[in-house]
Order: sequence, then structure tokens, then C-alpha cells
Amino acid sequence: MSTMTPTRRAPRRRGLKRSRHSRKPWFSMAAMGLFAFCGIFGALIAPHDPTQNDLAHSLAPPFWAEGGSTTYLLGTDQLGRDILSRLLSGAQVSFLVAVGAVLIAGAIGLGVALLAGYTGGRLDAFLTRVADSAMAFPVLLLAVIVVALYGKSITIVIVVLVLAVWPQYARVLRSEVIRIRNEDYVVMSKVMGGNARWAIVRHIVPNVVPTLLVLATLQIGFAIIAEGSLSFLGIGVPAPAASWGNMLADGRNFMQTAWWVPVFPGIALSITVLSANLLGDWLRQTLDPATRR
Amino acid sequence: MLESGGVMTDYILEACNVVKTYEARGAAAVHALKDVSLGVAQGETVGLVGESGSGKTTLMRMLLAIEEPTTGVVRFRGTPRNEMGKAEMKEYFNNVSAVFQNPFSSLNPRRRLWDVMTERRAIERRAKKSERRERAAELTAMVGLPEDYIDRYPHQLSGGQRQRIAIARALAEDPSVIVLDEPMSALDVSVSAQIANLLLELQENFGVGFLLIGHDMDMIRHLCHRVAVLYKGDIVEQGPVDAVMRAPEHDYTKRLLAASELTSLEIDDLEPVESADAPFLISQPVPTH
Repeated sequence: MSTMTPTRRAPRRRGLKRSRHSRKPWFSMAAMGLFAFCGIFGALIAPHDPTQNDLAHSLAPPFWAEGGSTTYLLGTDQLGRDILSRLLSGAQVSFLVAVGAVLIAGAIGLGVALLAGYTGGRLDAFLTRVADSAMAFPVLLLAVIVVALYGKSITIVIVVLVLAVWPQYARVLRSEVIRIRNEDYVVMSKVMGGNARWAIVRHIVPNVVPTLLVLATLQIGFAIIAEGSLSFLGIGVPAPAASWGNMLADGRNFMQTAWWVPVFPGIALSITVLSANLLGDWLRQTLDPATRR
Repeated sequence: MLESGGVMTDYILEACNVVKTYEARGAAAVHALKDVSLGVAQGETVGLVGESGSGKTTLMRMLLAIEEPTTGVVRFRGTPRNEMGKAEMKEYFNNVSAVFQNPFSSLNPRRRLWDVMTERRAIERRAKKSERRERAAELTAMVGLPEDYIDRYPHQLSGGQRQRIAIARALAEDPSVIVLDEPMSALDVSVSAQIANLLLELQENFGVGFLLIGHDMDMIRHLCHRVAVLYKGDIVEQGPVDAVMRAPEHDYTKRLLAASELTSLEIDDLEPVESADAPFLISQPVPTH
């Protein structure tokens, strides 16, 4: 046993050192878990109809404040709508927009990256230029134009975000694809008779996934913020439906008199975005060295 | 055996008058290979030496069907590759395999070793997992690693162990020729000696032919029967390894040998050879111990 001790100690020390760099972000994970749960089941657990007006109880404070009641746990807004229910309903909007935009943009970005990075040559030059041009186009202007043409809806928000975000995936993943394409194991698969499809499916895509995951997590934060901003500006999710962005926009006039109207959606938005970003940073730290080896 | 691209040869794998020119838009064409002929016979080890930029890698890529020559052909058992059908190409891929220089980039980090070693079977025959694992276990034993390594990932192995896995992968379909691209250069001395002995042993047991690319003249002398010297896209010297080492004819060969301290040639006696990539070969005297 005495010979075991030193050999056991070495890896443990390394393990400690490593965990200091990348301690599991429990808070962010829990917050994202709650966000996903509310995003999927929000409507089922909401105590009230999020669009139901109740002018008799407008601007009711949260239950712990003076004049508050447990009927409306987090109070009501100027039209007497239950804030908690609207937050849950808004979580569904944010979740749908974030996940939808990130997944679609990720798929497009990965497809373009594989096509450009693996094929190379003129197609690569063309696609890279398309991505660069798309990135140079201001998101806000794009949103205004698209909304002016097609009206406001969640689908439009998702489309705008996809248009804004896919080039970032394409650019980062393209350089990853090029790096991996030239790795000896990919060349070796060709020596063994493997075709392009084999190389892409078996070697390139699995090695690109960690980068894709990190990007996607960071983009979730961006997508939530962007949806909030668009809705705040009135070109996002249309009025009766609840979104954290339009709740903030509605509530900002009541900051002095009824702080709970803007503050709760603000907190929800901040915590969710912060958690997504922390989780993305952690993923980057955890997955990156493994892929470099 | 004829030395160059004649029909009556015993060569298993043979480059016949291979020329490779890379055309670049708006730049001068690069003549990577200018009429190169080289063959490997059953159970034979042929050394291919040359500085970086001499065309070694290009020739390797032609032989391994990674690229096609501009003119000239690669023959496998006498049949030119460009005339081969699907079934013959299958044979080609089974019989011609390779071990690359860097064992840290030649194994997919996301695949277990059994999967890495038997990739050819997955490509060609959609072989069953149980069959592939069984073969992988045989192969690890063949290259002197414990059989339970087949469930490990590449990053759990040392450089020498990885190179053994790369060799095992090359052996997976009982090939007749393996192209070895400086297989020892990324390893330290004692490990590279082990790998060298492993290669000799495998050749004795299976009669596989090797094309050993490298510039470690000591290793070439130790392992090879014949040696060819590639210089600026041309084979400038070719023959039995002893003869070439004892009495090199081309200046570049002499310089290579001098650089690796194998002869008592005085470096000062030599005319400088024009070289962009390997100035150390000509300008710096090798320190003597």
C-alpha cells in the first residue's frame, strides 16, 4: 500500500489544479435548467392567464409589500395582468427564440463551414465573402426592414436573429474544419479508401462539435438579449403576448411608482443571459484543451 | 529486377516516370517531381531520403492515392492505378497502407483505439463491431501492447504507444506494402529503436515491403535494403544501401552522410549545394563528440 500512495497523489493534485480553473458552474447550470423548464412548461404552471386584464387590480404590488396579496405573487402591471404569469410566458418566448435561432443558425453555419472549409477554392472564397457581407449588415436595420415588410411575430424575430448570427458560426467553424481536414487522421482515412462523406461524418463533424457547443451556448445569451431589445423597441414580439423585452418597455414608465413592473423581467433577463455566458465560458475552458490534444 | 519502370519487375508498388507539377494561379508552376521511378518489392525495405522540399512527401501522396500524378503512373502488382476498377481499388486500399510521422495527429482523438485501428473495415465492409474489436485485439498484441488498450482513447497513450497503434492500423488488412513517413522522428531515441525493431520483426513475419521515408541516415542504414536519394524532385542516386553509403556518387548524398556523421568526409571539401530549406545540411559543420 505504501507504494500506492505517491502514485495516487500525483493525479489528485492535477485534478485539484484543474478544477480550480474550471469549477462546475452550478449556479449557471441551475439557472439554465430553470429557464429551460419554464421555457417548456411555463404556460402550465402559470397561476393566471398572462394576457388577462384586471383593471380593478392594476399595479398591485408583490405579496410581501404593503397592499400586496398572494393572488398576484409578484404583483400586476398597469393593466392588472399577473407579472409572474407574464414572466413564465415570456420565458417561453425567450426560450423558443433563443433555442430556435441558435439551432437554425448553427445548422446553417455548420453546413456553410463544411462546404467552404472542406471544398476550398472558389466556393470557399465565395461563401466566406457572403458571410462577411452578412456580418457587416447592421442587425437593427435588418430587423426594422424585415418587420416593415412582413409584420411582427416570433417567427420574424427568429429569422432576423438567424440572419444575424449564422455568419459567426460559419466563420469560426470554417477555420476549425480547415484545421481538422489537414490532420493526419483525415488524410489517413483517404489512404484507407474513405471518401469525402466519410471524412466529414466520421472525423470532421465530431471534432467540430465542442466548438459548436461553446458557440451555441454563448449565442443563447446574445439571442435572449436581442429578442429583449427588439421587443423593447417595439419591433419584436407583438403586444398582447408577453416577452421580457416588451414587459421592460411597458414597465419603464412605472419605475418610480411601481418598481416591480420593470424590475422582475429585468432580473429574469439578466440572470438568464449571465448564466448562459458563464456556462459558455466554462464549456470553452473545459472542452478546448481536449480538442487541441 | 529492373531499376526503372519496365514491365518485368517484381515490384508490388511502383511509381513509373511520375511527374507532379503544381500550377498556381498567377505564380510560377512548382515542379515537385520530375520523372521519378521507384518500386518496392515483397519483403524489401526501400529508403527514400531527401531534404524537406525535395518531393518526398509528394511522392508519398502519389503512392498512397491521396493525389494523382500529372503524368506517369503508379502501378500495383503491375497494373496501373488509373486503369483499376472498383474491385481492384479495394485491393489497392487493402494492400497499400501507411504510417505517418506524427502519432499525435494521426489518430482521431474522439475515437476509441479499436475503432481507429479497424477503420478500413468500417469503410469497406461495414464490418460488425464484434469482428472489428476482435481484430483490434489481435493487432494490439501484434505490436506489443496489452489487448485491453483497444477501449482506450489516443490521449491516454504515450507517443511511442500511439505510433504502435498507427502501425497496427497499417497492418489491419494484411498489406503487402507500408509507406512509413519518418515514423520515428517524433519519438525519442530509445522508443524509436523499439519501433525500428518492431518493424524488422513484422517484416520477417509477414514479408511486408516498406518504403521508409526519412533523413536519419543511421536508421536508413539499419533498416533498408535499398536506398533512393531524392533531390529537387529527381532521384539522383539509387542502389543497395551499403553501396550508396560506402561510395556515394552525388554531392547531395555525400552531404547527407556527412551531416549524419557516418563518414569521415570533410565538410569543407564539399561544394555548397543550392538549398532553400535545409541550410543546416551545408553551412554548419556537425559537432563531433
